[in-house]
Amino acid sequence: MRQLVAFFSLSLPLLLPTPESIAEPTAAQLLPSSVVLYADTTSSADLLSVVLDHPLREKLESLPQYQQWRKGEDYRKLSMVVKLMEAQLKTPWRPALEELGAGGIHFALDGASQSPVVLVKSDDEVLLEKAKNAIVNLALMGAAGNRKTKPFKSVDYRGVEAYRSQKAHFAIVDKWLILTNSDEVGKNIIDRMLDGSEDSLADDKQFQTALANRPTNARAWAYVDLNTIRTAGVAERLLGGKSQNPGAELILGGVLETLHQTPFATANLTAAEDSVALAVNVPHDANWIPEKREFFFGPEHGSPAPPPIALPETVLEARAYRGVSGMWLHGPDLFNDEVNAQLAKANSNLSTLFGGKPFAEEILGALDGELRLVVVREEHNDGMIADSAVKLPGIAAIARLKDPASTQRSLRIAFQTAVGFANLIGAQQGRPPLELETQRSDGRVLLSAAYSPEDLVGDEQMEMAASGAGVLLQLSPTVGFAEDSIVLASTRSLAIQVLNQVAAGPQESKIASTISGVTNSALQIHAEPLRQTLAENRERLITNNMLEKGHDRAAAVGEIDGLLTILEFFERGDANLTVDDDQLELSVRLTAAKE
Amino acid sequence: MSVIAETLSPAHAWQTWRPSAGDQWDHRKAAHLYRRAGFGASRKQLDEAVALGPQQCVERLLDACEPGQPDTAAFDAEMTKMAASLAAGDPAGLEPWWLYRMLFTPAPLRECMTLFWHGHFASSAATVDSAAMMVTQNQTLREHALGKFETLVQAVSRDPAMLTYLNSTTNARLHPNENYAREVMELFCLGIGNYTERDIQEAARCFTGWEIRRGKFSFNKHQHDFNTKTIFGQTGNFDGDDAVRIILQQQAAPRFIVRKLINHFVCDQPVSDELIEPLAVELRDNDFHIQPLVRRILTSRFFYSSESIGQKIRSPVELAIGLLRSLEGTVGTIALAQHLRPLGQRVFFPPNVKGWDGGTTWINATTLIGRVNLVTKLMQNQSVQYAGSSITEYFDRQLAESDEHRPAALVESLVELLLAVPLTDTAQRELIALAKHNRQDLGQAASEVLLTLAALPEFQLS
Repeated sequence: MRQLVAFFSLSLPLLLPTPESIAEPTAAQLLPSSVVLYADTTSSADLLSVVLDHPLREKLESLPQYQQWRKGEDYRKLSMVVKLMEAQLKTPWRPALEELGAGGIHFALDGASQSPVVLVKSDDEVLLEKAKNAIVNLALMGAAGNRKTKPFKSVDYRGVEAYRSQKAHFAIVDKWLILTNSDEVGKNIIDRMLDGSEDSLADDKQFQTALANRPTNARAWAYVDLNTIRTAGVAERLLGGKSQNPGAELILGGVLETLHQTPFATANLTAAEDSVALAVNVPHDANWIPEKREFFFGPEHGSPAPPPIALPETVLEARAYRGVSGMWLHGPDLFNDEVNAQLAKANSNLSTLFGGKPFAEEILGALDGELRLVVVREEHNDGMIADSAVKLPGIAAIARLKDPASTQRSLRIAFQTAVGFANLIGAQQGRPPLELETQRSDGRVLLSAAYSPEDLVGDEQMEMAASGAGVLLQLSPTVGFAEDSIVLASTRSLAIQVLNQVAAGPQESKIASTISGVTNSALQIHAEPLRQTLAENRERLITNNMLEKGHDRAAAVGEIDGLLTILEFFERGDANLTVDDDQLELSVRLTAAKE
Repeated sequence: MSVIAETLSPAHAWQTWRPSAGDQWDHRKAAHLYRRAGFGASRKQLDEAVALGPQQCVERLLDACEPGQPDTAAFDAEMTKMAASLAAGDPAGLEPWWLYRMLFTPAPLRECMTLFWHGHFASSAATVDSAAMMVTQNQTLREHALGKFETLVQAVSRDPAMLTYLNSTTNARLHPNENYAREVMELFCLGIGNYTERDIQEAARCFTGWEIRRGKFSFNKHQHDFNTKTIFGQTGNFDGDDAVRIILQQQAAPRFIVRKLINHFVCDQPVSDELIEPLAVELRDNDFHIQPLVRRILTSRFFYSSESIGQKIRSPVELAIGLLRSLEGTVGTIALAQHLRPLGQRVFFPPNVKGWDGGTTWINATTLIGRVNLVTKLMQNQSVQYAGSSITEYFDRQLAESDEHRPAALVESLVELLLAVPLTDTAQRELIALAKHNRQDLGQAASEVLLTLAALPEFQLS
């Protein structure tokens, strides 16, 4: 109820004439051209339908957490507000909301005043007026109940009654509800309603270009004026400066470069029976990408991500084209001094590990840009590992070698050296040694290192399982080669699976993109294996939840089990970065589990 | 060196304090007891404590530490389970675990004592670099926190984290490592000036062969020196346990422990030898059992005297946990641990083998601002809950249950709950004026008064 005190209300006298030319203005015609962010949904009924009529709703409402919430004070207060609103509107809340937002809900951020605006267009002026009165009454009741002063004051602007609070302003004009925190913006919108204007967002050429490409099936659509945002100096460091995060550069470098140049971005939300998807599109030009970020899209600007590996029990699979060597070598152009110092140190150390060969140039340079990373759920049947508090999933990185014949040997030797170092450190900490094993067959080479728990006697196995070393015992780091592929995996069994799958040929790729370009990067997360992996680490997650949120065990168990249950409702999540000659698209899709 | 309480006679100081008409057992006194022996108490706990009386209240605090207590046992089982899942990770992950334990434990005195012994037998995870070893040490300190001191020292002598911290993981008979023998005399049992270099060398031979193998204590008979040693005039084929026994037979031992416990519970200032002596004798007579000593201190006239109340500076952990426990606060302790780091007290990471110096060293220009900022964060962060609600709603509810809604009463109530010493008249007037300014919203007024209180020097005192 307290939030309601933030509003003020403004109603247009019915006698005030409305100019013919703006009899049915669009939201964009009412907003100033200085708007830098605009978003709308075609109608509240559409939005409500996506949320409330979705098959997942019933499942979510059956969760114990939801049922618990329904018994709580928050739900009681919400129900009370809803009932009061329904009583005053004389209509159930859902049809009321559908009517109130039948003409769409529009959000904008004005760049000049940095003020947010919400415009809601109703089909029913009488209902809108009732809603305003209901909100005002509730706010007054709430303030009285809390022994607080009147939450807003009434003002008049051009014959319109208005209410104003410290935080926000609330107005109803004709079929429109206006909510903003800026006097000036509120007045500006009312002026447009009364007088019309040719300097609106709808008159902006760039906005018109963006709007022309709005998909017809979009449930919600958004536009961001990046030109103006950049000119204002917002995100200057992010888009223009040198990065301090090589990981972020590797994942997003090319996108940041495009955002540094592109005039605007649009986003659209679509929904189907079993999925919901968000696509963000920006105009793109290959000439915008400088040499230092050529690593991202490839030398021809259209290098694709490799096909998926698609192993059973995959939790996550990421695929991308990235010329890592190119990124490393352009470090001075991309990263700040601190990162470059760390890269230089790493280059030196890794060059030693690789027998003196320059790491960035020769070792990373031996990889072409097709990179894959897979995380799979692994069975932990071994008694000792099963006792460990943390159960690791398997992780494998897969790449292709430009010239396998000349590179394999160096990589094998480096792996053996690394295992030697690990054994030295392990011996100091009382761990058994990793034992190396080499296997050659059918043109494949597998070099793996594994702990031998049988070296431990008596209680030592249990003690190691209970200590940090118990986690390490789950690993059998392996490097494998087959034709031009190299796989580095956390376990030997995973490395073998990966090589088998690579040998089986490219797997089918489901791309969620709305444009027909090259898939530069793709990410899939599979809900069921993820849920099982998390369930196997449930105790650790509960501990983390307790420490992170200060919960007691019951509350932590509730949250973690709730998360695990919610994961049951989904099949997978996909994210893709697609590029064509004049567009870049980042699309995200969430697919519900099949019944 | 200024010596406190020269006017307090030893006989008078350690007598059981009995409330009188002029010196009553009230909320302020109960809050003092809980601040020192339980990090702090809520208004409801103080009401109960006042009804119980001082002696019963101390007994309740001590009883909660007993292993058989159902609440304590269930909580301990939960904490052990959490520790097991953290033992495999980064030792820094243990900080939030212990803070959580301090915040929610039904046996707060035991956690106070565990924190005391952690500073006394200091080992840093920065050196030990093993969460599993640090958890084991922490459990050892807790298990013996109120038990027999000799048993505790013997357990610490075998503790893998301690031996790792003092580079005593290999202690060979031909090259005895003197680190542990030196610290056991200088820092753990006797104090400087109460032993000779010869005693250290001979004690070091007793600990030869005491090693760590796969993270566990191991006795290597091949590396133990089985020849006779002479420590503090006693000669024999002693081992480490004998060395500890002989060290604790020295007159300085009980005095050393009593002095540290008085500084921990009663006041930061040095205490005269005369004042220490009766408790030192009692400790020896009780075979170095800590619980009777703690009971004696917490029920004494000295503890409830003006020489004690407000005579300590709260450590950063006491400040944060005390505030939260007093206001029934719950907080994510991962974030809390991060906020405490710049204030000079990271549990599991004491600065050196001497532990934290404490007292006035907690406060400097930087940490003072940091302490005020910490309170502000705890008050204003939406994720921090006070009995399940925001601080303003918490005070709203507390005041609704109270008969008293005057601004002056509100200030008095908060001072009683959170401050060890009365406010100056000026400060009191200003806080009342602040509360009056928000007369229509006393919950809001209370949180603003609290934030102002946190910036006062008095708030730093315990």
